[in-house]
Amino acid sequence: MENIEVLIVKYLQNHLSPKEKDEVDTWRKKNLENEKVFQDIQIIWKESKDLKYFDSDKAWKKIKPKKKKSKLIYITGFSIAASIALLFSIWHLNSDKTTNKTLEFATLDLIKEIYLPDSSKVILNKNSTITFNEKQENSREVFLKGEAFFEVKKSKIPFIVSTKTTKTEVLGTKFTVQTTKDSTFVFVEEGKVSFSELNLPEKEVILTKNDIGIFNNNKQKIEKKITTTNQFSTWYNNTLIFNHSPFLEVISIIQQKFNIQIQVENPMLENEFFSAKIRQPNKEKVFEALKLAFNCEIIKSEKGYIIR
Amino acid sequence: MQTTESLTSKFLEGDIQAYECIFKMHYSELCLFATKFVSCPDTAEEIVQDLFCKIWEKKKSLHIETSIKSYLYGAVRLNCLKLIRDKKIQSKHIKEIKLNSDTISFEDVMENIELQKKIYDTIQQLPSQRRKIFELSRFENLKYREIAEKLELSPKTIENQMGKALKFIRENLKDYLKILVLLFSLK
Repeated sequence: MENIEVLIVKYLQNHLSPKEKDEVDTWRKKNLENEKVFQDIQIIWKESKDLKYFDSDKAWKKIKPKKKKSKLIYITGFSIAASIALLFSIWHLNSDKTTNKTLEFATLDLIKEIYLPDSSKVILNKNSTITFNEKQENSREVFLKGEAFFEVKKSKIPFIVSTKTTKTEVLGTKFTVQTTKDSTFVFVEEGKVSFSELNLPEKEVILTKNDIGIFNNNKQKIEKKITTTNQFSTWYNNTLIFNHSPFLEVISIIQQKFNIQIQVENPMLENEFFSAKIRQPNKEKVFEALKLAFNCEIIKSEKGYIIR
Repeated sequence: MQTTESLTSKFLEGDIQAYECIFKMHYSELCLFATKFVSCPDTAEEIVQDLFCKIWEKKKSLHIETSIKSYLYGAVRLNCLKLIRDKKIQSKHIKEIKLNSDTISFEDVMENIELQKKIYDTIQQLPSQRRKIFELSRFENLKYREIAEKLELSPKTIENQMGKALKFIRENLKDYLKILVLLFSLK
C-alpha cells in the first residue's frame, strides 16, 4: 500500500473515516510484517510525544564550579616511564599580571619529571598534580595531590611540600610524598625531613633515611616507621629493593604491588629475612628470587599463589 | 579510557574534569528519567542540576555504596518524589506516577529512556524541513493545519512529510525495536 505510514499516523490520531480504518486493519492482518510495521510506528508515535532533548553541554555551563580562568600555555617535561598513554599539560592559572603566576602540572597516565624554579627535581607519578608559584624568592612551596619524588636543591630557604592535611619541610634532600584518599606518606631516601600536620607545625616529626612518616586523616596522628624496602620509590626508579626485610612484610608488599593474593603455608618462613635488588620487577622475577633464597615452592592456586 | 570507578573516585577527590565527564555521561538520561515523575521538562532539569550541584558540594561526605549511576538514579527518583510530596509543584505538573515498583521495573524504564534517546537521535538525522514539521507536530503538539499555516505549505504536504519522517525513523530503528519486543516478551 502506498504511503501506509501516512494512514497509520492518521489512524493513531483517529483521523480516518471508517472505510479507511477498515483498509488499515485489513492491511495489518495480511501478514506479520505489516503488523510489525504498525506496532513500530505506534511505539515511535507514542514515545516521540513531548520528547525533549536535554542538552548536557548547555546545562554544564550553568552548573560547573566557578574556577579562575585557565589557559593552556606550554608543555614540557619528558616521559621517564612511558606507560599506556596520553596527557600531560601545564595550566597557567590566575593570569593577573600584578600577582605571581601559579603553575599547575597534572599527569594522567604518564610519570613526568619536572624542574622547579629553584632547580629542585620533581618526579610526578601518574594521576598527580603539583602546584607552585612561578617566582619563589623567599619561599619554596609546592602543593601536591597524588604522589611525587623530590630531590631538593640545597638552600637556606626551607622547601615545603603541602598536601591537604600535612606539611613536609626540608632544606635539601631526597624524599617521596604520597597522598591517598585518607593518608599521607613521606618516605625519606636521603637527608632529614620535618613532617607535620598542616596546622600544627610545632608537632613535627623528624624523619631520616629509610623512615616512613604516615599521617592518617582519621587518626589525626603522625606515625613513624622504619622501612627495609624502597616500596615508595619503585614507581620511578623501577627497582624493588629489600634490605633484610621480614618475610611477611615482603609478601605484603608483593601482594600490593602486583595485586595478587599469596598464602604462606610454611610457618618456618615467617621468621626469615630477605634481601634483594630487583630491576624492572615483575612477579615472576620476585618469585624466582624467593625460590632461590628460601628453597621454597610457589604454586598457582585458585585465589592466587601458595608458598610452601 | 578511564573506568567508571576511577572516574568516581577522582570526582570524589574533587577533580572537575571527572565531574564534568560524569555529568555529561548521565545528564540527558537522568532528565528523561525525571520526566517519568514530573511532566514539566524544566522541573526535571532543575531536579537533576540541583542534584549535581549538591553532590559536588558534598563530595567529601558522599557515600556511594553501589555505582555512581545507580546512586544518581536513586537520588533523582527520591528528589522527584519529595518534590511531589511537598506539593511545591502544582498538581497539573505531576504526572500520574507510573513508576510503581510492582508494575514497571527499573529495567523497563531504562529501556524506555534508551528508546526515547534513539528516537531523538534519529529525528536529528531527518532533512531539516521534514524534521521541523515532525518536531512541531510531536514536540509542540501543533495540528497539521497549524503547521501548514506556519510554514506556508499545504496540509497535504505536511501529511506526506510526516509519513516519510515516520518511515525513516522506523527503518532506522526496526532492528532495535525487534530486540526490544523480544526482551518484553521474555519477561
